[in-house]
Amino acid sequence: MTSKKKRGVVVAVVSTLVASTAILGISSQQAQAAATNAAVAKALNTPTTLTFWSWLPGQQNEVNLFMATYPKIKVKLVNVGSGGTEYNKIKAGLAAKSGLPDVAQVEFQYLPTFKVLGGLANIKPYVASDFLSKFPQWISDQVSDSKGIYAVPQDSGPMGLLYRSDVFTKLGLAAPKTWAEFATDAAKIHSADANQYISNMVMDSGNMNGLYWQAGARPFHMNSATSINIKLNDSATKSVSKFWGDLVAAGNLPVDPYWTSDWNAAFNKGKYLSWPAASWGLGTVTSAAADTSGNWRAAPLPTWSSTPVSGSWGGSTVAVMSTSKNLAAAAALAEFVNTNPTAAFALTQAPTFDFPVMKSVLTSAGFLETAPAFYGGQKVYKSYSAYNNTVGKNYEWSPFQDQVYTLWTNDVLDAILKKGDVSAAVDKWQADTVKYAKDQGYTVTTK
Amino acid sequence: MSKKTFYMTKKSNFLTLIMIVLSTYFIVPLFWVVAASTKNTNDIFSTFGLWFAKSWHLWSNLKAVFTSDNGIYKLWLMNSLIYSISGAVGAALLCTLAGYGFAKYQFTGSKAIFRTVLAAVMIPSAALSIPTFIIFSKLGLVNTRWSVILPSLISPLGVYLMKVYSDTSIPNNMIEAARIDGATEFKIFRTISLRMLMPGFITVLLLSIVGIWNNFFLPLIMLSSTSLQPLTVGLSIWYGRIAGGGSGRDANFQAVVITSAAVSLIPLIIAFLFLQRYWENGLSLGAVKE
Amino acid sequence: MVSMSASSLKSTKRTGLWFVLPFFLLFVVLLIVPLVYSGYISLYKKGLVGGNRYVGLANYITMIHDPQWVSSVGRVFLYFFLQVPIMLFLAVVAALALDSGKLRFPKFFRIAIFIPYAVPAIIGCIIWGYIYGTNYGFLNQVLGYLGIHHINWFSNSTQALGSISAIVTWEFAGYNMIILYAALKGLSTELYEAAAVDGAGALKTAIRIKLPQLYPAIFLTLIFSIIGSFQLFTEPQTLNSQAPTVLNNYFSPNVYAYSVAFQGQQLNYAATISFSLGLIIAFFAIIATLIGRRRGGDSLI
Repeated sequence: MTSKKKRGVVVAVVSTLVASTAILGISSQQAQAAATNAAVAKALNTPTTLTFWSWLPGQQNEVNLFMATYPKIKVKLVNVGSGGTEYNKIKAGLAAKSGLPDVAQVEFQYLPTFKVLGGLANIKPYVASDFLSKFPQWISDQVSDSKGIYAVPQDSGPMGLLYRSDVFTKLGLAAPKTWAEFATDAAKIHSADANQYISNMVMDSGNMNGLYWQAGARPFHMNSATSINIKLNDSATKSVSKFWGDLVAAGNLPVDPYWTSDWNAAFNKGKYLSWPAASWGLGTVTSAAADTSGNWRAAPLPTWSSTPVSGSWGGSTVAVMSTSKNLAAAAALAEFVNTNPTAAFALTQAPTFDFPVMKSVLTSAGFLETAPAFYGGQKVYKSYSAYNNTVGKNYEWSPFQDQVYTLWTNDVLDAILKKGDVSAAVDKWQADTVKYAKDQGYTVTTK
Repeated sequence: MSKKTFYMTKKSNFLTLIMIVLSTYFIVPLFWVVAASTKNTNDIFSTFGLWFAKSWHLWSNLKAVFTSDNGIYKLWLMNSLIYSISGAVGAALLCTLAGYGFAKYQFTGSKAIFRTVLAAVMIPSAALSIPTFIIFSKLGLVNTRWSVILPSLISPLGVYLMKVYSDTSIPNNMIEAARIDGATEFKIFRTISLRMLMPGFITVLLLSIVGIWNNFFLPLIMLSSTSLQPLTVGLSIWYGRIAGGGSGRDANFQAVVITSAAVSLIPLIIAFLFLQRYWENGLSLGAVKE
Repeated sequence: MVSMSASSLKSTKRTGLWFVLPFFLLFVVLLIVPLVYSGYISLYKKGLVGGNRYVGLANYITMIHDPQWVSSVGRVFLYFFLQVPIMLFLAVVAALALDSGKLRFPKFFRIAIFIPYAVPAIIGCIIWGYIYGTNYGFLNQVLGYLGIHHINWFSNSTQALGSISAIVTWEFAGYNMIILYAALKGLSTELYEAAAVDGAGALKTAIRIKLPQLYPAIFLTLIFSIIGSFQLFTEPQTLNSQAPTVLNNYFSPNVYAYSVAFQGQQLNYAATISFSLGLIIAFFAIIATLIGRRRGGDSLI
């Protein structure tokens, strides 16, 4: 996304951002505060070219800001594909010890995988001493351990419900507060018009994982570096899986695969009236459903009990690859694009729409007061900030999360789509995951 | 073509109709992509697939194809050309030399070697990709142009075709005559045989160009730098970006991907139309020779 | 036809080797070595934790008890029997039609059917992906005019094989047609003339006289098709997002090997799968060759 036309926009965006942060009282001096460390200062004063893999729309804005601040450093930002495509390239690169970038975007759930593979550099020596305290603890915990810091948090994915308020109102419905209401509304909406559904089936493993998280599932815990506790088949996971399976079996949900052209078009055509989406979904729907602008709103995720709880889906970090020959400069880049106040704020605006993880941005008025016309002027970030405060804590990822997700698709999703025994499928998911973990040499407990 | 005139009496409308139906299947997808490349993303889904939309977006789509990601599409196109041409020229040369050697000379083990090469026709290239990746990564060849070019140089089928072609197109007495005139073996090859082998050479060249141009698996696993990737891998990344696998914020990119797919078809289709006769001549070798 | 003709020039033994050597060296380095290496590492095992260790045939035993591998192999067999006969039938019909001399605009048809072969599989998949879209795809758009709505072309594994077959047939029918057409052009005309004198029509000539002579060429296309269809990869891999549970990570042995290698981080097991796939393909290609030879057809070996 760095066409020349876009670049023009980018320059304009960056300059207004610089102006707006000045208004917010953030001095540009702080931009260089990161370079407290002598080694980093020296590195940033040495002509260097860094390669940075990211699929984040608009990431070039923050990179440009970095290059403007440190003119000796040239950054090549490359989009090698999103999610799994990029991870497979990193894994192939780690196996070959070649072809890796200095810095790469990595989602939270894959940090343990790359840590085990030895792909992440410890950037503790290079970042500001108060680095971890800039983020909420549940975020900083995910990028660090007692020995070091392995990535810079970029954004997070607290979940809410995006919905078409115009159609809901027309049908005399409000946004469902509980999942029970969601199920009742699902039947009403589909019987009112055979071509519309309350939502699509949650076909994406990460999306469903966020809903398991919301319901209280905590499937993984590392007992030690070589021992892992796996408990995917707890009652929360089973009841959430069954809930969605029942909706599909009743014919009240379509089962369109996510992320296809068809799926994008379905938002625009009004086939799905809601989506339990992460904060970055605000951007997804905005670009997919241009014809329905002004009709979407955000609401809290429906709950299982009266207590408001949310889950999280996705959210990224920027990590320095252990193979980088310019660790100090690479760490400075990763830190800058996410924690420099101007850059961190820019991430929350068009075209990126990231949900921030820096406390200072989370509480800044410029962020909270954003009211996109697409969402009818609702201050959607303020809404998502409220959901963010309710995200269930103490969630741990496995060091082979992509395998866990693939097995979920093969076992649980497959059973739901075939209208089979969902509970048995969750048990199979557990068994297959345990088998894989053992095969990789882990000692497995299943408490 | 005299045999044609003999029984080419009356044209059949029925047969023509059958072939019209059959060829529709082959043409429609191509026509669809041409029509879609003139539309914006929204029109792709809301207008009839085989006709043009009211608003014309071909130029803006083309511009986006060549400017997105700093114009990396041009680089991919260039890479595909580099890999196909260097790989195919190398493969065709090696096959011609070897095929000629097998056809015109008998040396110790020549039969066994030829059998081994023939058997290798059966080995699926995909079965070799993963071990080749591991070996290349140990040699530091992964993520270099060589990692794609080197495996492309080996074409057992090409050797077979060139042996058959050498058998049929170069009379042994011509070689004998040249020998009596005192020419060295390599000079005979260079001055006499090579010219006669040219049509076969071009066929193997074309087969290899298509094979390398279309290859996806090998460059997918070998190359991680986007600047080294050929069109096939590059386009698969752009296609994947529509989805966004985990953060689908690029829905408007679809028209660009479709247009880039349409543009990618142009070079090979031109090559096909101009070099048609070589296909038929060359492929008939393997098929008819008894 | 492996045997050297009697007039081969035996006097220049060394020279022949020099001609063959450049190819042969690369052949050994880039084909034999990886093949042997693949067999070698399939005897080892390396996990995310713990080191590399020799495990004998354990990976092979795991593999034959791995339901995902079994299902992937079963699927490519089914795919072979589904796709190849249809593709070769269309290719034979098209080649006979082109050769009959009764067709109007034969040049147009020849190019139209052959041109998809020039389309890289990945691009073919992108195009067909849009054609197969459940809600707004072109095929369902057309069917919608006939009152048939929203067919999911990948609703189950067999249907997905059918949909993929249509893509692969589209890609390769023309290539096979050209091989067969070239073979037809090379046939002797005397038989046709005799048939025409006997008053046989074009259809009769095609079936009774041309088709039997075409047998060796059909056989060659069959061998290529065995090799190609067992290697199914690009289509299910690219279209995976259209039907993640159906076009899953073990849809075909190659897709499974890729997933096992780069997602599952089990390179040794991936090598086991690849190596076995090579053996399976070679086995069936050889069986087919032997059958073909006994029936008097041409053969590679």
